[in-house]
Amino acid sequence: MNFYKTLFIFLLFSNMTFAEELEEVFIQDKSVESEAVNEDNMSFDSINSEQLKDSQAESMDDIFQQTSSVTTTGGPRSNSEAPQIRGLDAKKIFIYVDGVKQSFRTDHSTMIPLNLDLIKAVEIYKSPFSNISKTSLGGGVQFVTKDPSDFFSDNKKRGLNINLGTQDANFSKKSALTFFNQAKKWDYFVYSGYTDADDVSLSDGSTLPNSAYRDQNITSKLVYNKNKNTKYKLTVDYFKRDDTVPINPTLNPPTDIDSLNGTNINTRQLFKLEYVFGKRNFTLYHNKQEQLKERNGDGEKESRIVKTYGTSFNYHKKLKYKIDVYTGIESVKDELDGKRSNADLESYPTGTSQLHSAYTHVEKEVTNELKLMLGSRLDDYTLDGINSDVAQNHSSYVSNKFGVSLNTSKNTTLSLQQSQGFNAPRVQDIYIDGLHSSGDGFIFRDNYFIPNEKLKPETSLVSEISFSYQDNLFSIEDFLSFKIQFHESRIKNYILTERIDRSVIDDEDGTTQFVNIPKAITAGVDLMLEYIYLDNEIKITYSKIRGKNLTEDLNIQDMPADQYDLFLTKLFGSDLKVGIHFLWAQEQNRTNPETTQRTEKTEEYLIYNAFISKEFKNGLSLATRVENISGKEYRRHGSFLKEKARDLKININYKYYF
Amino acid sequence: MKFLLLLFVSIQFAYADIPEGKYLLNKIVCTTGKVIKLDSKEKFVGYKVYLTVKDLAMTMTAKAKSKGWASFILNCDQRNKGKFSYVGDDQFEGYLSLDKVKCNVKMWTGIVKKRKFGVHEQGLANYKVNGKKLIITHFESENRYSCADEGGIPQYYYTKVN
Repeated sequence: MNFYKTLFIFLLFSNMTFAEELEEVFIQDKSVESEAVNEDNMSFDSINSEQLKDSQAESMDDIFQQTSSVTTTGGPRSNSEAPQIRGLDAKKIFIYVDGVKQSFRTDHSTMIPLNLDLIKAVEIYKSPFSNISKTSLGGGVQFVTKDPSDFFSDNKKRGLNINLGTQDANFSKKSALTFFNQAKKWDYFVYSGYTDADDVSLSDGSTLPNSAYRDQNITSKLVYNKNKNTKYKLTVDYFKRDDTVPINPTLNPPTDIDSLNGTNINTRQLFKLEYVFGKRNFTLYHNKQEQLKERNGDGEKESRIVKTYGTSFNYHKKLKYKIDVYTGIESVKDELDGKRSNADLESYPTGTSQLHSAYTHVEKEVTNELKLMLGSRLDDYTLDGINSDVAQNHSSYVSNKFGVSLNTSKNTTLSLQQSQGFNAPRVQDIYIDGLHSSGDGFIFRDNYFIPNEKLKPETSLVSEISFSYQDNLFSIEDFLSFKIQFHESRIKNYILTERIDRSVIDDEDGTTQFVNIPKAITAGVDLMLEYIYLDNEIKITYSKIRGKNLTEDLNIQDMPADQYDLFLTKLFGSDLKVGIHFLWAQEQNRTNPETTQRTEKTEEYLIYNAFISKEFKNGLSLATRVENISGKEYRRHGSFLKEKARDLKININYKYYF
Repeated sequence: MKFLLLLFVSIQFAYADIPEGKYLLNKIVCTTGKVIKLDSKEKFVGYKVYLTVKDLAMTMTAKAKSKGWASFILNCDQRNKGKFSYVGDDQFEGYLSLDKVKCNVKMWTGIVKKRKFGVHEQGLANYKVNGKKLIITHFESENRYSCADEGGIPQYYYTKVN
């Protein structure tokens, strides 16, 4: 369907429907789309700024340890860590930072350059239902970064923030300086940060070679507050990482094999404009991410670049009769370019990907007890391989969702929701070509990637049933919350790689290709029990998920292990906080040892972390955290290397106002 | 007498049988000079091959295993069995045929079976013993690996380990 015709119809429909509107109130901190989510809905989770501060995160994995809703695989090198939600990996979920799509993926790396100091919240969408505006097979993650006003305090709006941190697992040293100011209607900050980390110590007592890195970050945000409801924001961001991770950073090849090791420079440059008017949000951005590799020995150079041009518009309207309407459009264009010594890099084909989307999500409070939600989105994508004989790939898809939330009593809620997900294939999935792995010259032939012009998008039908109970248990000083959600996702055309190896006696080489599996299914349960009494909090979560490739009767091998988490937190006054976290992951043996898949069974493990943080009145805050206190040797399922050893983290932050 | 003693010793040296025991295969060298290494640091699969000689029978066991840093997990076991009899100067006639192949992945079992590593049909072979070293050349065999590309014949270089 022509995208512009669709857009016209969408806008026409929008204007016809939105006959009356109530007053709009500007909400500063939340993204428009996250406002649609009822935070009690178990399809949504979030990590707030307090939790982020407690985590002293140096990597995405450190952030996600604060919740059982999302895990990472491929670590512990941070270059290869990728988020995973309900068993769906980074290629099947969306990843955004402040509305900017993160598109960089290679065959073995999902380097998402995050300025961890500036993240103030993480929104985790576990299914297409909770996510109203982004396209994916299941859910996704949105990182929300600080605005200048996040550094202000009461009427103090000018100053410096100094942050110093260290971690002993990799002897990392971090230093960051932020200058922030408000001048009349203008808010701004300028941030500069540097991190130097050595090779990381692993929980088996070894040191992981080529895991050291040096990061440089420079970020600036300028906000013009025209009035209470209108803002213009400009963000400029630069990130650079130098490291020597291997060609495949999820593995640990010997350091003296030159062909598998090299030096790397990863850079990211972002330029973003945002216009916020009431509950309207318009964004325009250009994000360029580049990875340069120079191989040891012969010095052969490879470069991989993705330039992302994006624009989006989101709008929230409150209508009469308790109707909320969320609507928006998004267009993203990725331009990919891969080069090896100035010739095309076939494993990172040059091409473009365009995705245009439009959505509407409506919520209606029928009665005080009953709420209905329904939504629809249109996705239209086009993939082109430049310099490829493979034809253009194009498709459109309409996804729908429906949900009911019923307060069965004053304290209990039952929710039923069903939603469709959609995930377009990537340029690499279709156009990839060239040598995958060399044969051994003895028994196995070389193995080559082959394109697949018939590759279809993945689609899902996700059903979720939730029950929650919330009440004061003994008095108004305490609060008990219990939530449980069962979920199932029926997936069509699940994309995975198919590898066929051949003997030196055969006439042709082996092949690797991205293919569609007609039918797959994932199903699981999430459970949360939380009790707060005065300044004490105890939270227990449990998550379990199973995945099956129904067509081939195989397990989806990288499903996360069943996991229990226990969080205990106590506040002493308003300035001292102590916490401990137990994480118990069960054995995960649902793999396919009879196939070529690399994933092996993972043993059960129990680790615990603890932290203390203290705020002083003069603007100084001190935090210390120990992870894996017992030094337990363990490996996360879906990763091939052991995780970090015991890690002592110390962070000092000083904010000075002038 | 001295002459007979000398003749006896000469015969023993010239027609030494292959000492019974277990041998580790170090490399295969083509008669053209090309070397086929069974393991090296760059290869993502390493091969360990043993040859047991006992009672005019040979058993070859081969294990192919992927290295820890390979992007897939391969584990194959192969066994060849055969009989031989000595004929002439440092020569025997015999065969080694495929007895068993099992890999963790069915596709690779098929590949390894097809490859017929170490399999030689009934025919003559030369051998040379020098201390713990043993070299065997199945010069009548059709199974010549990549040595055939240059018109060469594979020679198995072993070291006695047991």
